[in-house]
Order: sequence, then structure tokens, then C-alpha cells
Amino acid sequence: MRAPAWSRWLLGWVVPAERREDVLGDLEEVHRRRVKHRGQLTPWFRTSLETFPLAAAFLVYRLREREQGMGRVSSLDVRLALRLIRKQPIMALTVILAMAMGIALATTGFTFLDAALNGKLPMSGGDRFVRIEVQSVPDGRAMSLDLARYRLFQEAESFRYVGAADGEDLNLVHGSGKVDSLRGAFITPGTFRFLPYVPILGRSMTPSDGEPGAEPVAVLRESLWRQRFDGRRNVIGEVINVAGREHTIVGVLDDEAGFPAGGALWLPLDDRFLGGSEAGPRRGLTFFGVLREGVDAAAAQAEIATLSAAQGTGTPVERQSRVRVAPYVSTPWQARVQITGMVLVLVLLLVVIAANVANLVLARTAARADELAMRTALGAGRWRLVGQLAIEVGLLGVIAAGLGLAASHRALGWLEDSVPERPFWMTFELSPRTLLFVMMAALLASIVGGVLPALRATRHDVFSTAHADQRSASGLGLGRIGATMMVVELALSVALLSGALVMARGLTQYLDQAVELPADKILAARLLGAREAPAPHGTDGGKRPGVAPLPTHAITAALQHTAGVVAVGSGSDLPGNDAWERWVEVDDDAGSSNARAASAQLAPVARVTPGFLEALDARAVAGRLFREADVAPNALPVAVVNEPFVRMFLGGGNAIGRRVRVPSTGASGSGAPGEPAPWREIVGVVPDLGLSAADPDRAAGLYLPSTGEGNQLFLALRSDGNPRLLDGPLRQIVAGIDPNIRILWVGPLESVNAAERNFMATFARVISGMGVVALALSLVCVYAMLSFAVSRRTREIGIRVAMGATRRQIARVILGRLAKLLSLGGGLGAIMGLALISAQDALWETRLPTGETWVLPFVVVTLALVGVAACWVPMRRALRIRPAEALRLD
Amino acid sequence: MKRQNLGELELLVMLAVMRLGEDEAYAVSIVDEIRQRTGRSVQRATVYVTLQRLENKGLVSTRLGDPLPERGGKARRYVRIEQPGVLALRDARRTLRSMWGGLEPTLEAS
Repeated sequence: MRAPAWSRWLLGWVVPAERREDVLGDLEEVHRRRVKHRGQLTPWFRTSLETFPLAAAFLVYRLREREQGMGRVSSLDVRLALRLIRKQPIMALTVILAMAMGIALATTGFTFLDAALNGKLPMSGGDRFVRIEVQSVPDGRAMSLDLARYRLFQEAESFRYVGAADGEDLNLVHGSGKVDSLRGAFITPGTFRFLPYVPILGRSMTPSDGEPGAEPVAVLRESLWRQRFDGRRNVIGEVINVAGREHTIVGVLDDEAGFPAGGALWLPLDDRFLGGSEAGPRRGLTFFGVLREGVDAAAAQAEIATLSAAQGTGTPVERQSRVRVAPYVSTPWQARVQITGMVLVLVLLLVVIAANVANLVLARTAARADELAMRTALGAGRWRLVGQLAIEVGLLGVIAAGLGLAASHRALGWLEDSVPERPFWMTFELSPRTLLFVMMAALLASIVGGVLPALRATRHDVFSTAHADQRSASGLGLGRIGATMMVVELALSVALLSGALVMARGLTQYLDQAVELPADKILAARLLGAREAPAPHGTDGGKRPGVAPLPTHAITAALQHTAGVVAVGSGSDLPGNDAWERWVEVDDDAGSSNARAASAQLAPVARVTPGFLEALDARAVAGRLFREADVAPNALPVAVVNEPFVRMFLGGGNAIGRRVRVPSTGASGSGAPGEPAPWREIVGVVPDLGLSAADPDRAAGLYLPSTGEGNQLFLALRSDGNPRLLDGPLRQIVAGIDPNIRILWVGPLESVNAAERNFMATFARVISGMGVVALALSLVCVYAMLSFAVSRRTREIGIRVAMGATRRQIARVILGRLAKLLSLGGGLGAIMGLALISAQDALWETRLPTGETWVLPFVVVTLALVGVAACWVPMRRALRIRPAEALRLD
Repeated sequence: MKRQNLGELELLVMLAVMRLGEDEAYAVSIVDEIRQRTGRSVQRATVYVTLQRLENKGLVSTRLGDPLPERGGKARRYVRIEQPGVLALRDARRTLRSMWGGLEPTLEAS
């Protein structure tokens, strides 16, 4: 007769107590009514079935109730939280600053990482663009795609289009003879069908612009049009001389247009020979494809591999190479390692900060155990208290998030300014994804920092919880969680601070090692030869056009006679650049006719013309500098070495007359030892003129005389006044000799690598600053934790004293346990720190000066001293009070 | 006073409660009333949830009656419409009337 027992049991369990009476009564009433009309079995099934929706409805109801009870934030809660923050302002400020720093670091670091590693072309359909790269099979070297395979890939099903482009420094020659150096791009005109760029004037390129015999056209970018053509609307149809040819301007694209390299103008690349000849396309091209919908890079790569195998030309070049299809903005592996390494350091710092915040909040919550107990006694539920504590930490988190995001915004702005020569698709903007990440991280921090300690503090009976800590494993009254956190924090602090400080010191030393040169008197320039015009098709199909050699002698001779120029020369490198390292052999027995290579070591070697060292205002400390006779045909091979070379390679003795050998550059490009090369007599010694950017280990190097042959070089001009005044005459002279010679850069010598140096200097400052803040934070946190923990043991200390323990014994117990924690944390941290320091070379291409051995012990000792002070002060206080008073505590 | 909008089911339950009166309206009778009047079968679980919602809004109140033997000695929870509930019902009636006004010919013709 009664409703099924299991239904009554289930509803009795699910339905809240206040509703149980009527709901179970209703169940019974309906069931009996059914039984009256339909017998026993059917009603049993119907009532059983009915139980499920009833149980589900009440389950959902209960969950909602709980959720509302937890999630409802009243203004009273917020006011209470604000009052508590005001009550402990220093603690609150520390937590806010720590969290803000963490949020700023995370946001900046991950935005940078996102921009550098996960970037995509900033245009609709940008994700469909892929690079087609050819790699040499034996050594993975980048190779150029041959025309046969380029044409073959155009037929591939995976691609809607296959094209090529080349970002290049070009000369724009004005009618007045004035030459502007600017960055432009040659591009297959068909590409524009897939670029969402709408011209603001005229038209963009059309496929017909790339057909053989088409009139050369040029499309300008808005900024160039406004700066050099005054934004004239009648510029369309105007003929300009650019890249050694006349081109007709057909359109202007707005500055949003950046593909392929964010240059100032676009010039067409002919579809047939891609700016080259039958022998191959022009050098330095980037090949790309536009994928069809639903096709990914891997599928495209598989297809072109199949096509190559089936219809390939079978040339040796083709057999020894591999074609790779990759997203257009993929970052090279080495850069990925560097960036990931940098972000890893930031993340580690973040972890230290998180550990600090968690410890501070833990200490703060634990300190309120009495208050929580009181509130529980007054009827506050556990969830109510947990919610209240979470609101407090959440409020701190909101303030910190605001500060952190503002700081991150500034940092990203600085990053944008500090890395001006980045790819056009790389923008350091805060993405919704990163923002979401930061919000989630802040939420997690709130949960870990606020809710978990709150849960612990409100577990069971808060009084016994508070007392339980005093019987904990650590012996310092930290509790197991606190002790573990302390060890983790110490380890991370020691590791990271050591790493950060060593890196910062290294960077600062790198920047401080400026070579004493009259850099403010020297004008430097980088020149690149004119690009050779492709041979008329059909006349000379066997030669690929390259870059023409520079008429170096003519340029330096003309500059020599320019007013204001004291000395001029050209070289393969400028001071401040890292000169190319070669294997150098030293003859250790100058008098013997059977000279033998005593040793071969890598050393920076620069090729310079006579006059270059004079242009740097170098004086020979022994012997002489180069003369014109040194570069004459059949001249005896000579070399000039620097003082570090004499010290490190020649044992500091007299260098003049000694001999060195620099094996000629082999096929690998590195010049392996043992290759035939003439012995060169050292004719002069000069001071360290900055052959290596900063590394003292690599300062030892030498100069070889050169006629200045080659298609690119660095010029150095010493002026008797302001070197910037020579900028104009230099450009005029070069344009007069050949308007197609490209001047890539001109500036005072002191500005060589200025952007990089500024970036590194600021980075060093930021790292040092963060290291110091993190150290300060760690000190505050260690002090707060230990001092709090020891002061909580006042009663116990009093009892021990009452029972006859001496001060020395108590101090030994407490400090002994502190020493255990410190040694555990410090030891772990030291191991991690050493690993971090040794990994630094992977982060920077330039080796940083090392030897900062004092940093690691400094951090450990500082933290240890703070730890001792943190224990000592409350311990002394506890030892001073009388045992009777101590017993009355709590 | 804040205007309370009623959902369709809330309206049906309120009307059923009003029809039954405060001495007869409880979950089982409300389900029966709706079924008899509209032909719609409403789950008792749904009525419980709706009544809880209406009670939270202050539109109805409930009280436990006396234990009854046909219910295994358990009491009924009777429902009564409160003044805000009456106002909400009037409001709903006015809204529906104004929306229905003039539509009869159109509805019949189509």
C-alpha cells in the first residue's frame, strides 16, 4: 500500500528537511490514490518513475541554494573586507604589490610570447599564407627554390596561389639627383588578389604587371606617399627611378598593408623568371603559397613532396634538398628557444611571487584564527567565512589586477619602442586570450591564496585547528603546508634571484665595456652594392643576377678629399659589432723556416682597408698600421693584432715579426684549421678597438689588410667636427659614383647597435629591479612567516622556561629548526640557481661576462640573516615574559 | 513596489491556487486542477520548483496543515496567494488583455 521504500528513502535524503514532510506526504497520497484505482504493480512503477524527476528537481534546488549562499556578495562583505585591508595596510600593500607585479609580469611575458611565437598575418585570410622553404638535406641550410619546382608547385591542388617576394633596401633617385634609401619589396603581382588591401589611390598590382614585357609599375605605401610625394593625388602615372629602373606609380595602399615585409613600396617580380634568369630566380626570395580552404600546411607539404618525386627534374640540387611548408609567421627554432627561455625566467619569478603571496595570505589568515573562531561561535557557517576570506583576497586581487595591467600596458609600449625592427605582423597588444589567462591566473591565485587557507582555518573546530599548528612537524609552528611553502619559496627565491642578478650584472658589464674610441667624431655607414639587372631573356640565360661589387676605392678616395674628413676607411665590421670569428694559428717559432702551427683558436678577424684604423683614431702601440703597399699585388702578407691578442695568443711578448695564419674561408663558411693559407707577419699592435661587442674572452683578434673588395662593407669617417655633417656629402658622393649603391644605414659610431644596447640596458634595469623587488618581497615574507610562527609559540616557550629550559636551549631548538629549513631551501635553490646561471648562454647570442660567484651566497646569507632576526625578536620577547603570564596567553 | 512578471507556468499555478482557495491548494491538487482545466500534464516536481520560486518572490506563502492518515501521517503544505501575488495576477491579466485586444477577428479569420 505504501509508496516504494526506495522512493521514500531517496526523497528523504534529497529533499531539504523543511520540505520533507509535505513532499513525502504528497508522494504517499498520490501513490495510494493510484493503488485504489489500478492495483499494486502499475502504481509501484509509476511512483518509482516519478521519483527521478522529483529527486532531480530538489537536487538542483539544493545546489542552487548552496551556490547562491556562496556566491552572493553583499555590500556588507565588501565593506568588511575593505575595513580589514585598512586594518593591516602594510600586509595588504605588500600583497597588492606582489600580485600586481606578478600580473604585470605574466601579462607582459605572455603577450610577448604570444606575439613572437603564435603570431599570424594581421589580415583576413592571413592564416592561409604559408612559407615554402627549401633545405639542404645534409646540413639543413636554407636553399633557394629552383624555377622548375616553383612552376610545378603552382599546379599543386593544395594551393590557390604560389608566389614569391623579397624585402629589400632600395634607392629612390629623385629628379634632383637626391637619393633616398628605403625598404621595399619585390613581389609577384598575382599575390595582390589574395591580399585584402584596398588602394586609397589608383590600383594595386594585377597579374598582368608580372607578365614578360610589362611596363614596370610601383605601388606606394601611404606613409611614403605623404612624406616624399606630399600626399599629391596626381602622383598616379608619375615615373620614379627606383632600384635602378624607372617605374610608373599606379597606386597607393594605406599603412595597414604590410605584406610581405612592411616596406615603403612594392615593385613587381616577373612571373616567369622571378627577377632572375633561366638559371634560377633572383637570390634571397621568400616563396609562399596561399592554401585552399580545408588544406593545412602538412597536407600541402605531402602533396608537393609527391609532386616533386613524380614529376621532378631529378637534378642533383633537387635530390639533395627537402621542401618544407610552414605557417608564414613561424619563428625559427633558435629564437623560440631564446624567447621561451626568457619567458621561463619570468614564469619562475612569477612562481616566487605567487609563493610569497600565498605565504603572506596564509600567515594573515592563520593570524585571524581567533577571530574566525569567534565568528563561528556566533553562528557564521563555514562557507560564509570562506566566502568572506575569498572576497578579501579577491578584492586585493582586483586592485592588483588593475595596477598590474596598467604596468603591463606601459611595459608593452616600451617593448614596441625597443624592438623597432620586428616583423610587421608582430604586435605587442594585449590579446583577449592573454587577458583571459591573466584573469584565470588571478582567480587561481585568489583560490590558492584565499580559499585554501580559509578552508584550512575553518576546518572542524577552529580553536583546535589553531592549536594544531603548534604541534606541527616543522617545530617552528608553521604547519606542514607553511613549512613546505617556506622551503619552496626559499629555494625559488635563491635560484631566481641569483639567476636574475647574475644576468643583470652580466648585461650591465656588457654595456659598460665600451672601448675608448672618439665615437662622437666618427661617422659610420653600411653600404650594399647595386643589384644587377637581370639579363634580357634569351640573351644570357646562364647567369643569375646578384649584387654588384662596390667601387670601394673610388668611394673612399672621394671621401678622403671631402672637407671635414680627417681619415676614412672601410672594413668588414665596425667596433661594436661582433666580428666574424675565424680559426687563427700562431707560429710559435718565428725564427724557424719550418714554421708549424702551435695551436689554432677562434678569434675575431676583420678585413680593413688602409685608413680604416686611422679613421678609428687608432695609434699603433707597437709597429705600424696598414699602408697602401700592404694591399698592392704581390705584397707580403701582413696583419695587425690588438693588445688582448698579444696577451692571450702570444704570451705578452714582442709581437712584431711574429707570424699568424688565418685559414681561408672554406665551403662551410667557417674556415676550418689546416686549410692552406699564407703565414702573415705581424707588423703592428693596436689597442682593443672593440672587435668583439663586449665579451673579454673574445676581445683578442686581428686585422687583415684589404682592398675593400666585396659587395657590402662598413665605412668609417673621422671628422674634425660634428660627424653628422658628413652624412649629406657621403650620400652625394655615393650617388654620384653609382645611384644604385644602397646606403643601408648612416650614423655616428656611438649609435652602432644603439637600439640593441638600449634594449639590453633597459632589460638589465628591469631584471635588476624585479630581482630587488622579489628579494625585498621574499625578505618581508620570510620575516612575516617566521616572526608570526615564533610569536605564536610564546606560551610554549614560557612553559619550557617554567620547566627549567635555559634560553640557550630554547634558542638552539628554534634556530636549529630554522637552520634546517634554510639549508634545505637554500641548498635546493643553489642547485637550481647554478643550473639557471649556466643556462644563460643559451638565452643571449653574445656570451655574457660571468664570474659573479658572490651573488648566490649573498642571497642565501641575506635570507638567513632575515630568518634569524625574524625568529630572534619574538623569541626574546617570549623569553622575557614570566611563565605565569605566558600560561595565561591564548 | 517592484513589478513582478509571471512566466506561463507561474501564471497557471497562481490561477490554480486562486481557484482552489487557500484551504485546498497544495501541490497534488494544483497538478490536478491544471490538468482538468487545461488538459496539460504538469510534473509535480515542476510545481514544487515553481511554488518555491513564487514563494521566494513573495507572491505566495505556504503553511503546513494537520497530519492526515491517507498521507501516511504526513501533513499537506497549503499555498496562499499574498497581496503582491494578486497584483501580479492583475498585471498579467491587463497585459494579456491589451495584447489580445482586437485580435479576435484576425485569429478567427485565419
